[in-house]
Amino acid sequence: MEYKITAADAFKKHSDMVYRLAVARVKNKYDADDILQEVFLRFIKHKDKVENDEHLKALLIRITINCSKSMLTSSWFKRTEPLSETLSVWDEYSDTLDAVLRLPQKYRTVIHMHYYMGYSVDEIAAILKSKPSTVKSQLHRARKMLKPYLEGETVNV
Amino acid sequence: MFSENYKNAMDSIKPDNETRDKILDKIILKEELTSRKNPAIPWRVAFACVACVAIILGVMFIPRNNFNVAVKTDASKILTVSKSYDEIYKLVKPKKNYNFLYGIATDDEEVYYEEDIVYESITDNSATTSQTNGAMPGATASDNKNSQDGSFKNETDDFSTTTEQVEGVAEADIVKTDGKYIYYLLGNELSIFKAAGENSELISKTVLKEEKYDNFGDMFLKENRLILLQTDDYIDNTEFVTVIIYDISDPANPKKITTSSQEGWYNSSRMVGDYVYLISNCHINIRDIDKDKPETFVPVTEVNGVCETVPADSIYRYEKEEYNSEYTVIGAFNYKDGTLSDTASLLGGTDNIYCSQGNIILANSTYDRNDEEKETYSRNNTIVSKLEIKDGKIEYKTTGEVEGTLENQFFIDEHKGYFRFVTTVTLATEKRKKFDNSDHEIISYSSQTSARLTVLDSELKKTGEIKDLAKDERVYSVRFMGDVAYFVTFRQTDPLFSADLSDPANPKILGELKIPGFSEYMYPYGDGKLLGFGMDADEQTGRTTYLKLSMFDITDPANVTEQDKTIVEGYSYSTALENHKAMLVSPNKNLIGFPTYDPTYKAVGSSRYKYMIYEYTGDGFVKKAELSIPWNSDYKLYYDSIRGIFIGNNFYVLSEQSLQVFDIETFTQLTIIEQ
Repeated sequence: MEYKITAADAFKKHSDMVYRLAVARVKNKYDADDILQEVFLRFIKHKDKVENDEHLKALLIRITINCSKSMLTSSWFKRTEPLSETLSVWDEYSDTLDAVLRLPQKYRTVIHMHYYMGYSVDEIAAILKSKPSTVKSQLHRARKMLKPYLEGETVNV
Repeated sequence: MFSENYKNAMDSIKPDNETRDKILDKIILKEELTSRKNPAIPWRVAFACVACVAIILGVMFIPRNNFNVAVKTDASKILTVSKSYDEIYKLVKPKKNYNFLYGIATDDEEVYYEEDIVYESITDNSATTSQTNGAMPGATASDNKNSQDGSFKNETDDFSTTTEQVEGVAEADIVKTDGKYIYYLLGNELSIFKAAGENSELISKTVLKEEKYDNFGDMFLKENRLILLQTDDYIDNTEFVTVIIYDISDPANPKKITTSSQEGWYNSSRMVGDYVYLISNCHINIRDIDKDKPETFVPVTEVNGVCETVPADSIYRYEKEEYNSEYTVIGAFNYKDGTLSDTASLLGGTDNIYCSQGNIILANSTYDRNDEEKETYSRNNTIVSKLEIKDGKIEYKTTGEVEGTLENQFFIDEHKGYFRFVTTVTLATEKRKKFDNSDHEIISYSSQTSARLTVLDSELKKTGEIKDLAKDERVYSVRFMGDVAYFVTFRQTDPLFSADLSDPANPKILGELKIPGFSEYMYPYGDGKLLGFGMDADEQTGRTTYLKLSMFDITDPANVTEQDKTIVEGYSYSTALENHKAMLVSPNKNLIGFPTYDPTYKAVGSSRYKYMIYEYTGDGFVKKAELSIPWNSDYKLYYDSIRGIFIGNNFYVLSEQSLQVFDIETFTQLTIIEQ
């Protein structure tokens, strides 16, 4: 049974997922909007390689991460507002979200993937093409920094 | 709860409808323009990508089936010593085509996808490969004496020491005491307190470095030296563990003697005799490696301002070529002056460390798969390497393998020249069926776990094992006591197994006790007693409820009983579930102490942190005190910072904000010193 998905359908299905990951990575709405568009435009090229729903998600995550990387290194990005101003963009301020967005980017990414998207360490490592031990140590350190919000939870690795 | 709060906050984040519609229009347009040009992808690539995603993602979501298949694994392997940096360069240099995982972009002109071989942090400034190494100003101190700690007793004179696994092998922690002074290392601050009951005082405070997130420190104490291990947690490109040695003959005025450093992030450390063995994991920044600059791909150490790369003949690697972007580095530092007496490095990472007085075992989990035409089997194994340590010299000996993975250092033990391991074995299988003679396949997965006990000889060759214990369960905690091993597995109830290892060729299960919940750690508690600390669980659902203390009677290892237990009602978390050093276990003083977190905390002014103290009477556990730990919302970002220790008739609780002193009998507060 052949798996077929159009970029438009993928967008309808996963635009929120991509957008939220983009927010976790770039910390502001404007860049996240741009990334959202860029991810699905790039995805058009890859859509025929998709084999199933899990693969689709993993692929979109990879592209999102790549897009937000180039976004971060472009000089345009450096001119964008500091955290405090971008945060006011959200309707409701959340101190948990604030704490996460204060982490270094690599830690934000693994925290988002683990706690929001529900991926395990091995899955994150596979998607990010990293070693499980690296992901584990990043999660561990991120949790240390997030201490006041994390009491009572354990990470299953 | 963090994840709920985070989820709620994230769920409310959505692109504007207007933006969404605009983007969708663009996508539809571009998709139409490109629709007729996409070539079909070759079957093999498609196949590879499905298989990988399936193994890694699929196992989680698919219902379990039982199966029993042997997976071929290599027998004992020996690493070879490297002859030159050139040889190492070939091993760390990325091979082309690293996109096997999703079968993407191997022949794609877009570079962005192919480049991301290693997932690295991105900071606003571009990457540099220099050896960053903080110089640290300031100093603090005091005097002390040598403590020879045993694993079964938790104290030397009349004061507590860090909970340790092996007698004669000291473990680092954020709190140390010599009975007169208390040393507390939190992030970049070293505080020294005079321990004198109600007259206790803070006598010095030293800032080691001016860096905000420099939040990891560990410490040893020996004679008049304090050995601090600090990691530059926040520096992304190159990480170093810094070894700072203070002379604390005058604790009010500690004098910094030296600063040395070793590349990598802090994994673990031990002190045996006069040497601190520091184990770090060092990542190579593949994008920046340069054949002519060994420091870009070989770990670096620094002593007295002199940087050196680890010599090629101290770097061990697999015989067969295998891609690697990580080293494990072991350095032996003299506790008196910080000189580096030896280093060794293994290509490949390390998850867990075990150290006896004569050997270090490095354990690294691996993932093996076995592809056959219609099926793929996979499992996680652990590669174990043995390094002999003697008077500051480190010598690599051999490497072996045990099936399954292990959780922490207590899962490994050395006894009478044999090495014993308890592991959780996970077997996953994937079955493929052709569908309608097309190139596409139906794939089904299943996985199964069980516990295993493996005995290896001094060459790390297998002498005996017990297989297929506790089907579908995972091993939570292990305690080896001479010829007997106790281990706890869990899914819904908590079987505590005891095994006789006196014959290395023929280990035997002696007994099995099923009780609800599980223990994360087990501590010997006097004659014939084993204390378990973990969680209670609902027997029907297996859902964990509250913290639990169990006292096991192990007088007859073949017939272990849970003599007493107590549930810490209302408390479901303690950092001592993850770190044995956060727990105080003193059979001699009859004290059991651990920090907890109060989930019902709401009111301003009350504390969300508590320190619990129990004693064991022989008839059961008695809660002696529930100490509140001062806490205001002006938190710093330290995790696992609470410790309780005793000195003579006083009990001290250290936390980020204060040192509290209590009477050890009544637990009335004698004084509190704000940090």
